[in-house]
Amino acid sequence: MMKIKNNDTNKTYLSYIVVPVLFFVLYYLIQTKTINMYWRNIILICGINGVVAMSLNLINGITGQSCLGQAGFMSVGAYVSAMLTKNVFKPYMTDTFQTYALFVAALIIGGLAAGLIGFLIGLPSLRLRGDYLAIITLGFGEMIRVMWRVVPAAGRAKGINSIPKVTNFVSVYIIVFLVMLIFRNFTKSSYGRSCIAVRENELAGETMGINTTAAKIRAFVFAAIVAGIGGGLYSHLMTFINPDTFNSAKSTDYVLYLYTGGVGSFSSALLGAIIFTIIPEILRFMGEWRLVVYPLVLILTMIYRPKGLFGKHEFGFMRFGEKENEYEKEENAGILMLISKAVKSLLNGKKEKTRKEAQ
Amino acid sequence: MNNIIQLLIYGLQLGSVYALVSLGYTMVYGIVRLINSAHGDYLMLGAYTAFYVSLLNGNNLILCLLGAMIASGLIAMLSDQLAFKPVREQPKFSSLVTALGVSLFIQNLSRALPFIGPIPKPFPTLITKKLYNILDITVSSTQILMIIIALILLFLLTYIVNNTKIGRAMRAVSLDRDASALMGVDINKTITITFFIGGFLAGAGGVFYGIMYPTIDVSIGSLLGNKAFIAAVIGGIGNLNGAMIGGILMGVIEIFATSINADIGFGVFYLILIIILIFKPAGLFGKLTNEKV
Repeated sequence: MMKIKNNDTNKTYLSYIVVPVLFFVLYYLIQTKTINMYWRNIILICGINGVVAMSLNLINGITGQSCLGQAGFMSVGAYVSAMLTKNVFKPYMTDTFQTYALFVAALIIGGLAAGLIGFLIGLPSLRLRGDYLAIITLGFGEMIRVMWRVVPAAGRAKGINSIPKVTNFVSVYIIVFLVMLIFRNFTKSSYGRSCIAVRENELAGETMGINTTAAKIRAFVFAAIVAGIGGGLYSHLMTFINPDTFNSAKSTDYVLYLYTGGVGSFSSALLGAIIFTIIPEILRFMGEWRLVVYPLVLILTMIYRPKGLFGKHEFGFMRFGEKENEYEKEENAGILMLISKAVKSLLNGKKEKTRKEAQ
Repeated sequence: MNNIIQLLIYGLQLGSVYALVSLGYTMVYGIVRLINSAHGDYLMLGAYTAFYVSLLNGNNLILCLLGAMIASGLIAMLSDQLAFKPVREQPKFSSLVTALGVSLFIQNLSRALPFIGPIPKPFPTLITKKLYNILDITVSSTQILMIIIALILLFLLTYIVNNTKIGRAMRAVSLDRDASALMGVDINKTITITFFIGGFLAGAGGVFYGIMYPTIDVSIGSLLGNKAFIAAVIGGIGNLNGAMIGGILMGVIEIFATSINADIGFGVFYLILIIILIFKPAGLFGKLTNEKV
């Protein structure tokens, strides 16, 4: 039988335990080489894609704008931080501490540079909405790519190679965690609330005294900073970037991660990025056909589950451990809920059976 | 001076291709308010159809053109029925995402199919090239023929939209879908035919692309489609004349920009797009609809 629990006071701390446990398990497996280098890199790319997908969710999911140029922001972070570490910081990267301190500094500067670009791209969002905004962000993304093709310091079409390989599991995990933490707190703050107001009804929000202009710009800048940090991690993992790495197909990938995962939820965006980075790798035996599978998944998701595979759910951690009320749970249910429901009903069925047998 | 006129002719040639493709974008957007990013991929499939028709029947321009156009049209119709129709009632952005998915799907599927494959294929020479010299300006038969065929298609389309029953239905649906449904217009049929016509023109664009740049591969559609789409937006998306003029304009501008620096050719597109969208958000000929409260 189900117990009726008091929703107001009970908190679930499960995900607070999951985060460190997952870290130590993966760290152990990587250290002992149980997970080989290939899969280690895939795990890192999962994390990086997760960071960028979450930043896209801030614009598309929380603020309700339409952005299709996330790879552009990412490329700014990737290029700026790579140029910094390669040309300026490399002689000082002597011991572990200095290396990582400078790496973090490069990431932050790259992120800020991307934030500046995000500010520029955010400006037209004040005048345009919907489809037109989507086009112009796509346009800006491509413009940035063309810019890297022309700038001599960025190596033109050749790109930058032999970037120091400093991205490792620990740094990616910590940054994914920090980004989640920051986004959680941002969404719960009054800034985040004003972004949600813009999404739900811009006009009504404005009449309630919310500065919608500031909210939109803030979302764009903030998302660009985070995507730029993701780009910095990417360039220091791959050690080689060129302008075509960040083409519009990459932006499309992030849209795909976000919308198949579940737009409006950071945890779904992260899960979507992880799943859809791993699936093509698992399906490698299918050759070219593996790439057919995942646009198909996207189309089917849009037709049959428009709120995404994982729904609008947040992890317990993203909700400050608070339990969702039953109504929201039903409303936002994702595939995980369906599975857990099915498992529960199976278990309950078994329990009832055993009870009957006992009687 | 001669140089400029020479570039202008190249620009017109390229622009006529853009005009054909951007018309499809504009028509679909006008009727279902959907940015169909898969439109470029209809073009790519059209080019491949022409390739196979020419393998079977020899280099016959008319036959290849018809085959490509009908194939692209049918694929456009099919994609509408299978993917876009179910999401039509959902929020706008989800149909945009679906279109992105369809585009990726078509590209990756054709890359996986054994008879298309990832390796670029040489496009047959459908028009025997003759060069004419007029006052130091070289004009080839290909250019003349392409521009003429494009103009014929454009006039045909204008005729269909303005003077036939289905054209009137299309205009009615793009003005007010609910009202035209009440007046007895079959909405679904109109949308399907619009998709067909859009694909039809894209097929012609695909063949022309193959004639101009004689290697075709799977990704030609997304690049050309992107450019044509920008041309449509610049002309004012939803407006037929705007798409034609925008297409030709962008073709000319691209040729001039590329003659200055090969790398900025594509960047110029986006630069003009951004400038126009910022100062005239509805494009050159479009009308901006205000948000109703």
